[in-house]
Amino acid sequence: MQEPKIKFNNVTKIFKTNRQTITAVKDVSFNIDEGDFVSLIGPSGCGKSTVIRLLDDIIKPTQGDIYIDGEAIPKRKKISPEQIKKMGFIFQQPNLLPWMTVRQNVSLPLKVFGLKGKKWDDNVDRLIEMVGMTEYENAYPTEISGGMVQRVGVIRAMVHDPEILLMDEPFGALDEMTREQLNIELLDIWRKTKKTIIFITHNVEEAILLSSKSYVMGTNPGRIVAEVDIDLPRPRTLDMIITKKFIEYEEELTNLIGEIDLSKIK
Amino acid sequence: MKRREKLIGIIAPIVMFLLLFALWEVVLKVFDIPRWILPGPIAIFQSMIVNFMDFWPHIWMSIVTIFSGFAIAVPIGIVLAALITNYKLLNAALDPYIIFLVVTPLVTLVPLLMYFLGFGINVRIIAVIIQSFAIVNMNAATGFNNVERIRLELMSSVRANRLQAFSRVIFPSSLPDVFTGIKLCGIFATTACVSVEYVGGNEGLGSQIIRYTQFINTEKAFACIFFVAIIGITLYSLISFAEKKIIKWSI
Repeated sequence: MQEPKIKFNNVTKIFKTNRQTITAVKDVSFNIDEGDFVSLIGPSGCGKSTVIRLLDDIIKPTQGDIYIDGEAIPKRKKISPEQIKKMGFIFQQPNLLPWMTVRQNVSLPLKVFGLKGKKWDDNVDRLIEMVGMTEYENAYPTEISGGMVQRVGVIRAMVHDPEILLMDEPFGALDEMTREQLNIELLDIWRKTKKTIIFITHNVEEAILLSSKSYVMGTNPGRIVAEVDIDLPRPRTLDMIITKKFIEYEEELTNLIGEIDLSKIK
Repeated sequence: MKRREKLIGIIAPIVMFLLLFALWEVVLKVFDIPRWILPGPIAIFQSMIVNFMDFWPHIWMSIVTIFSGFAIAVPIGIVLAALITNYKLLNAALDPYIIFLVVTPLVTLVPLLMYFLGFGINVRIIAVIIQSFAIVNMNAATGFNNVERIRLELMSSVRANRLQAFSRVIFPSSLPDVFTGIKLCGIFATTACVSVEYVGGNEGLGSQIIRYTQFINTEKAFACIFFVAIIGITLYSLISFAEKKIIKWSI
């Protein structure tokens, strides 16, 4: 059997502050295969952002093991350069640095990783062209629109050619139209590059449109409550949203999330 | 529209300046206040020009003291802030002393400093440094500690080491706070310099203000005060100019 690309084994994360102890996620286990497009969906506070931050070694788990390509992320030491280079993280806010131009922002990971040379410069060119920003590569983030800024955030995470993309509600702050367009662009990127993607959202429609599998997460403590395979044909298009099957999935996921909310009230 | 606002920004203070001084002259005339108690601005300006060569060595001395003290205090403050925000132990050890330096009026230390080190310009520069580096340090440390978490996470996501995170994200993010510190440092340096010159020695504008006041030569005393103000405003403007050139992104 093929080794899963990403494996979580009973991962728990507890945040301790002076006043209280919060279990952000409890006993999270899952496997994600290479090239999969998986979404994590759930209400706010269910620990979905925590999951990908654990994977990206931004925070360390309290218990449990996380594996990438069968290799565990070290428990005490920093993640290895080889492992971190396999991942690109896309933030909820675009998180561009305002004192850098578009091109400098996109190149930032290359600078920190020490990746130099024509191959990487060409990669920057290619990505900027891919999202139609060549004209704006010397513009500063404050000079371009919200949709453009978020595109830059996406390609910055791809510039070092990672195998895995971690996306933390990347288009949540954008208007509906821009968001749909970026979702279609993302599907296109995924189809061409075959990267493994973990996509976090609280939008049911977005989760169904994009992913092959959706993990539904619940709160108190944050945990995975259901796993739903989204068996819709590829390539996905926006007009699928009104098909019967799509609406059925929408109901199923909405109900699952609704049950979580009900149990919270109780 | 923008040009008009700019023009107003230049003209309004000048008009205000003229109005204030006109009022000053009028009050002196109306209440018949003698010149040796409070001279008018015209007399003071005259004195500033006519006696300029008498003032010049002291002006120069104060400029050297303020600018060299300032130029040394700023990097000390910033480097120290970088160190204490990176190493918790250092922070715990130094924090109370830095607050002590900020809140203790320097004039209380100067007589002792002079007792230890003599009356030369070096003592005055040291006093300026002691009084002004701490305010840069405090503001820079605030900036370094308050960088948005998401930016630090960005650096974690590319496994940046401390130096990379500091130079690429923490330092540029906190430049607005650092510049607040540098501006205050300029003000503190000017105040400190004049205070030290008050206390001892016969060099620098501060010493001259004391001297002329003792001789009831209020015109010249005021002339020296105006020179101090000019130095202070010039330093502040230079810092503001540098700030605008460097931090283009935060409008």
